[in-house]
Amino acid sequence: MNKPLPSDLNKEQRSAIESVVKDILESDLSGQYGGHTLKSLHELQQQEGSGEAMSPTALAEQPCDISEKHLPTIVQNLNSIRSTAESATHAIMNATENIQALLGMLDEKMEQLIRKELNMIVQACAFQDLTGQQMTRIVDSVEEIEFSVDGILSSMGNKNAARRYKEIAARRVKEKASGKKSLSGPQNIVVKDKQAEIDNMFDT
Amino acid sequence: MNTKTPILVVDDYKTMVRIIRNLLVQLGFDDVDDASDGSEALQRMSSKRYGLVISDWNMEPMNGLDFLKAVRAGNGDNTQVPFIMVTAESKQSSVQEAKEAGVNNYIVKPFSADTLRTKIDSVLG
Repeated sequence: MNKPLPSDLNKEQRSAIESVVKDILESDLSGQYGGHTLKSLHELQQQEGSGEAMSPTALAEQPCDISEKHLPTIVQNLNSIRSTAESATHAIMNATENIQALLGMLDEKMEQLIRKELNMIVQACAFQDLTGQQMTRIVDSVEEIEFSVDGILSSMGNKNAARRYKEIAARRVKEKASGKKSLSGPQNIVVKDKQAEIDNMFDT
Repeated sequence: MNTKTPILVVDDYKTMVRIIRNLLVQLGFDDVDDASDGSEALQRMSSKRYGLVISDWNMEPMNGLDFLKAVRAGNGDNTQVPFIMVTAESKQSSVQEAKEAGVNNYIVKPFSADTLRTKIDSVLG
């Protein structure tokens, strides 16, 4: 559950939280956080209760960090995961097809056995398509948040955010005119076997 | 099932095209073309008669439903081509919409080679 940061945090505490978040975003996705994170957490614990008031400058900087640093990093990491998964899947498919080409050299019984297992590998590769689609939706959502944050900052007088906001708004108008980003397929994610349900619809 | 039937696979994910193509080859089909969206598929269909179309729903710029409607509204050789929609997501109203637009069958991803074979059997007879 997301909770807003307490309003009485001082600049150092907020900076330490920011470092922790940054460290997590830049972690190697193994779940192991670096020493920087552990140090920052320790500093946070030490500063707890210091009662120092937050300056207006610190308040103003925080939202900028969200749209200029953190959200782009999330998008970058997600795109990297998607790209890596795609490359790995193609490598698996290449190897599978190479093996399939050699099956004729085996006796019929062995050929059938290996072909069956290779088919399982091919079918399992569909994960990349499914995760890729969902990753795209997550990236779209993060970009939507980025756009909204820039809109808020723009209304507060931030020139960089105003420039980005105008650029994205203009790009969206172009995309709408060209028909891009207008996918209108069904949107609910399948979490259980829907095939039988759909088969019934075609039987009636 | 006539394995000489020319098949057009339409999907913007290259991996899924490869998977479906691979499974079709395993089923014995050797005349398989592909396209990355509805517009490209319509171009291919303007120069070749297909016996089956297997299409994704979520594609850019022309999605699978609009592609299906364009095929059925056309007046060429492919107007009545058997059409199987393949998608990761399903909602009854959307499936119904596809059915009303003239889809012959609908496969939910992820699917097995057996499901693909069964659906092809059902539309090709």
